[in-house]
Amino acid sequence: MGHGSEPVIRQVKRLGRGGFPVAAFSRIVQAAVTAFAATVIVWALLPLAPGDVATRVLLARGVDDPSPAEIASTHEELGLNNPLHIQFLDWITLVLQGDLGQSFTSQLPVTKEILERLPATIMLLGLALVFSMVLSLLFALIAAGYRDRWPDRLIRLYTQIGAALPTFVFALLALSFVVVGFQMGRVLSDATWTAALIPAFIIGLDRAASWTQLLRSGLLSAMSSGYADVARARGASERRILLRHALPNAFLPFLTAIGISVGALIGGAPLIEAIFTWPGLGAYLLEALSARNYPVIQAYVLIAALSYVSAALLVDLIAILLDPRLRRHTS
Amino acid sequence: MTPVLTCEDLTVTYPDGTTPVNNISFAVEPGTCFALVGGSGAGKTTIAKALMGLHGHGTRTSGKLFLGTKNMSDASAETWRSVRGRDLGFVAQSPWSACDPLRPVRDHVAEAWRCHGLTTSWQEIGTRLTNLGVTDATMRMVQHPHTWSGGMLQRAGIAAAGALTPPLIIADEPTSALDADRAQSVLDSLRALGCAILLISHDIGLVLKNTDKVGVLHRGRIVEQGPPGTLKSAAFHPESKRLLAALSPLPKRNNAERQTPLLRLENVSVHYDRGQVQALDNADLEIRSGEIVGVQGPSGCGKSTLLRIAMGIERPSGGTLWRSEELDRSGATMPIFQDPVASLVPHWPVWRSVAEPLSAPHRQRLKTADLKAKALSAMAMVGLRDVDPDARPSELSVGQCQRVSVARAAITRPPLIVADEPTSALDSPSTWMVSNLLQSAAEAGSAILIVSHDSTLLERLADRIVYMNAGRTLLRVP
Amino acid sequence: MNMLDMTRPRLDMPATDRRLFTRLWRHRSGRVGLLIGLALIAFAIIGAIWTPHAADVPNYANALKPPGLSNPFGTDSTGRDLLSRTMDGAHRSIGAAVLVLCIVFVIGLAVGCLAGLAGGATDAVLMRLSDIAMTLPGLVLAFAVLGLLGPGFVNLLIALIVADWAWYARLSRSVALTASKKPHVIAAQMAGIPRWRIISGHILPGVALKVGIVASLALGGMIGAISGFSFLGLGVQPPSAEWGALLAESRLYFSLAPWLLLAPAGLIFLSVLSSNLVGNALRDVATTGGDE
Repeated sequence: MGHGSEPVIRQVKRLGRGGFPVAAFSRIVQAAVTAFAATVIVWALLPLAPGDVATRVLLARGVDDPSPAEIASTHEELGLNNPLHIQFLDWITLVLQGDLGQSFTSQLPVTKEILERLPATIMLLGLALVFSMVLSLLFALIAAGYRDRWPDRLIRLYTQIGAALPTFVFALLALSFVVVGFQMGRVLSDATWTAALIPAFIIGLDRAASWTQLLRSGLLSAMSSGYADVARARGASERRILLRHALPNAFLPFLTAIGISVGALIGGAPLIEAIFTWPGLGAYLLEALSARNYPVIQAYVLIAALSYVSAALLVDLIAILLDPRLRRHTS
Repeated sequence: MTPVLTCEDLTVTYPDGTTPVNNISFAVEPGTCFALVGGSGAGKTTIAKALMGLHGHGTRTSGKLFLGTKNMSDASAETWRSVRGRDLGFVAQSPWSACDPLRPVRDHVAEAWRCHGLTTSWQEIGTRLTNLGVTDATMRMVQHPHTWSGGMLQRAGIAAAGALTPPLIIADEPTSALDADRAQSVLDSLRALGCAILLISHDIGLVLKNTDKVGVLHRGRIVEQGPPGTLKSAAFHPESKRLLAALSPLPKRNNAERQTPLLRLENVSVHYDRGQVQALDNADLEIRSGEIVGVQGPSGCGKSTLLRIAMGIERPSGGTLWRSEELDRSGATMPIFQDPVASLVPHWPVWRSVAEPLSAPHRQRLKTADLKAKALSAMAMVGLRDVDPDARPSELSVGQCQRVSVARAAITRPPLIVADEPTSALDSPSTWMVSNLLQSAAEAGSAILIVSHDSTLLERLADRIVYMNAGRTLLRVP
Repeated sequence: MNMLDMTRPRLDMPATDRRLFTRLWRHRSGRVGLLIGLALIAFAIIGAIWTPHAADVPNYANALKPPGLSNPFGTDSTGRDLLSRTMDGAHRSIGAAVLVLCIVFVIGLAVGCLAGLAGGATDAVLMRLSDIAMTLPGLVLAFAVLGLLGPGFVNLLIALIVADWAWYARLSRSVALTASKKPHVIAAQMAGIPRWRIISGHILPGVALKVGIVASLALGGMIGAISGFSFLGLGVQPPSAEWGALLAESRLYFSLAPWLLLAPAGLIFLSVLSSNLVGNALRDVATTGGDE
């Protein structure tokens, strides 16, 4: 029986030969749309805020009991009488020029204050991210390699406990009982790399628990997949199957989860910085929250949203670079 | 000559003490094809794994196992690893799940060498793929598995299995993921390698056609073995007879007048994506009451579109579609689907799924007890008298679920039953069972439109078969 | 001839065990989680009605006592009994988390099913709305809402609901959409079963189960979030007790009374552990039900 009629290529390639560039471009456009939507929400915080903005600005400028005339002229000055879409355009024009407004409390440009604190937060969270990725990769590979033997059991116990301790509780306990108890470091931290090491490691150790769980189960399901069975039947060693087949396949969902967790990490920054008394963005936000300092809250949310969107985009791009199957689902 | 595989009293014991494989003895002679055939749950895959030393942790094997002259009965994990791939090739069931989706096809083939620390050239792999009938092999092999067709990818799997020219290849249902005509050509490629083959399959028709010796497997034991000719003519064990019954013709139906037309399609075409994709192109089809019409064709030929038009859930973009008044009533067309378990409501007792069509608002209202009684008698009709009617679909076997689906489709005696690959998830005895039930539904007066890639099934069941290719229908009366 | 095919049940389960709770109870870690959870719920209910000492009344003479017979967890800086404070705070920590999840579950299920099953413009509008809510990470959105409304327990719960509903709506929509294309739904449609009966009988129970499992898995995170915000002083306001707020108070006196951290931290740990165990067990026993 002949087999000449059967096509080798099953798929009708609707994307043409575009592949990666086309798929990447569509993800970038999606990310840009999301980022734009985020800026709209951020801007909307100000008109939505209770109380009159002009009065707040005047109070911030030291005018204790502003007269109606002063309030009216400030309205005019801030463009608050313009239609909403004009107000948005004015705002976004300023934001694009790097002007995030004036702090209600210190009356300094928010951009300047943010830039003073941003490096500290990036340092702490970035280091924590690196720690947790390295730790979870290590733990998951060990657990999957020694499945159901003592290293695996030990790591599973760690992941159970880690997942049941919220990051801030774990950080508080570790800081209080281990770091302070054994005098391993200073509690009051300045934003230097050496001071960041211990807090970042503590955060990383806690975050790594749930990521280890995720990667371990991904590795195990890849180890029992059809292609792993076939590789075994060809005579491949378990180590080869784990590292060459299971790891790349389990890595993509892991990476996606990390991309999403970046959002949780940024959202958790105020809590973490409060525990380590870290002079970063999170601490700045907490001051602003209690003072109803809206421009600062706006700036924080904007930065958080933009870094979240960029992290997700980065992960997406890596995923479609590694997995050609994902290049088809672009809509 | 020494057999390439000798297996004496092989028993596999699971950690919980059950023995899925009991005292199995057989031998495979060099260059021949030996088949183990059995229904689902007979222990086929467990044997395949045990023969490769891949039974998991805690599972024990006993008995004697020789690969050629090598005694593998108590071989260490390291010995097994050096034997696999060199003395023992393996072809898996689904070609796509057999390939690492992130690596190009050529890496999948090259892995056979690399696992043993050997090297090969891409040229060599290209030549081997070409010899097995893969067109444009050198160009295609840099592409990823998901872009390959099943038949071609299975050939790549065969190339990898035969890479180090092992004397024996174990093939576990190597063609069950493929269309029938492609299955045969893939088996031919496998045999063309020249080594001995242990074929594991549920498809007795395929096995009888292609092997030199057959062992019938039932509940973990080989109940009968011999050459295919002998088995076909003089099988003695009930299980062999049950498997062979799947090949026997169905009882003839009485040819009452089947003149009243139910549904007629003339020059019907369907396009998607603003005319970019032509799913149907001038298709013709007529179904008369009480008639069984089969539709066959390669995947992507428009079968499912034709079916959806007959079901009334899709409209043609051009041509004429005529439906009889009878068919326009609510509930007049009942479907049977490919996936038996998903066809039933997962959180309902099965009797409720069966009775559901009777509870439609346009029918006479029945009390719950009456509904249940009717459902029970419908289940008895499809041979499910012994099944707990309150069981959930997940507690039934796949074959039983499909019989529940048939009972549901037939309970209202609809003028038309539309079946989409109703047997592709079933083993051959269940397939035979379901085709019997479809036939009795036709006896009871329902017309049946059945789409299947199983030509044996259609030839036995259908009054007429419509062949389709590239959205066109080519009619043939058997 | 034997007309029956292999009567091999795919689940090793007697016919009587179709109730989810029974199966959960048979799951080893599920049972441990349930037991811890029930103990904590009892602790919270008793604590809401009765505490061994007054939870809010200072007694400066009794300040910072180590754990002992009359104060098993010790006393805080103003001499209040920590056991009574943790008992009093339990319903705010656990109860609030359960409440928020129930609300987002209901909103999510309603919005998601409406969008997924109605389709068209309804779907587009609802999903754009949820898109907007999902451009920000949940916690950041919660901070933004708290920034608008100001700190406070009720405001915190509102913020968490605003931060989470869209996610559940998305999930419900995709589960409902998948379910509505299942063969058993098509069969019911073709049999002439009216739409509302298909939705209530075929689709909703399955969607509610799947989304409910996800919600139960999120309970631990929600308990953590509520205690975290309260730790920062953005949730429960003094003198009301809440485990996260208790941690913040205890922290100040760590050098004098380190044991004060242990009880609230331990209780948070136990409640998150219990919900993780129950959630995972629920996922295990429910997904072996065959519906994928």
